[in-house]
Amino acid sequence: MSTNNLGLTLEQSVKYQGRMGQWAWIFHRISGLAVLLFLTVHIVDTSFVYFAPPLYEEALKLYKSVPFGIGEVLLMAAVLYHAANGLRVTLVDFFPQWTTRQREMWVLVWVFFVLTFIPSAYIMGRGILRSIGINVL
Amino acid sequence: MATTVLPNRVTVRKVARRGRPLESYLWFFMRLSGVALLLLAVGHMVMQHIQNDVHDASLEWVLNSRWAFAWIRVWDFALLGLAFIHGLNGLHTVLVDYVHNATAIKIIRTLIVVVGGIILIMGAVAILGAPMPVR
Repeated sequence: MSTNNLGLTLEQSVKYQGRMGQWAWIFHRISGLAVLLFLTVHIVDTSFVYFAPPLYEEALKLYKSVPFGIGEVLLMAAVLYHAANGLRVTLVDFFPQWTTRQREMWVLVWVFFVLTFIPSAYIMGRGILRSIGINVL
Repeated sequence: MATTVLPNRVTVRKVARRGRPLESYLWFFMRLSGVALLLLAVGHMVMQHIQNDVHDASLEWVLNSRWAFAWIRVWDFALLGLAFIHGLNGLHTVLVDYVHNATAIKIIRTLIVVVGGIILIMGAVAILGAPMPVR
C-alpha cells in the first residue's frame, strides 16, 4: 500500500479497470494539463509583442525549432482530443438519457480525432520538414 | 426546520434553502466555456497551424496581418480569458483530487489566483495595447 495520495491514486488507477470511461478521464486530464502548460508559456511569449518586441523574435526562433514543432503537433492532438471528449462529457451531462449510448459516443470521439488529427499532423509535419529543407508534397 | 405530519402518511420536512456553492457555478462555466472553446481554441489552431505556418510568423506578421484586424483581437481576448480560466480551474480540480491538506489547498488556490491573474493581465494588456499598424 502506498502512503501518499499520488502513489495511492496511481496504484488504484491500475487496479480499478474502469475501461473506456477511465481512459477517457485519464486522457482528458493529461491533455488538459498539457494544453494549460503550453497556454501559460504562449500567453507570456505573446505578451512580449507589447512588452518586449525583440524578445518576441527570440521566442519565435524557439517556436520554429524542430523539437518545438513536434511539440506543437502533440499540442494539436491534445486540443483535438480534449475538445471531442469534453463535448461528449458536456452532452452526457445535459442529456442524461444519452448515458445508454456511451460506447457509441466514445467511438465518435476517436472517429473525430482521427479524421481531424491525421490531416493536421500531415500539414504541420510538412511545415517542419520544409523548415529543414526537405520538400514533400 | 419544522416537521409537519400531513394526514395519510406523507411527511414533509422543511429545510433552510442554501445558496448554490461556487463549485456549481464553476461546473457550469467549464461546460459553457468548453463549448465556446470548441470554436475559439480549435479555430485558433486551424488559423495558426493549418491556414498559416508558424515558420512564417514574425513580429510584423502578428502586428500587420493579425492584430491589425479588430475581430482577431476580440477573438484572442475571448480565447485568452476563457481558455486560461478554464485551464486554471481544471488544474485546481486535478490538484484538490490529490492534495488533501487544508493549508496546502489554500496555498494552491492563492498561487493559482495570483500567478494566473498576473499572466492573464499581461496577456490582456498585450492584446489591447499593441499598436495598430500605421496606414
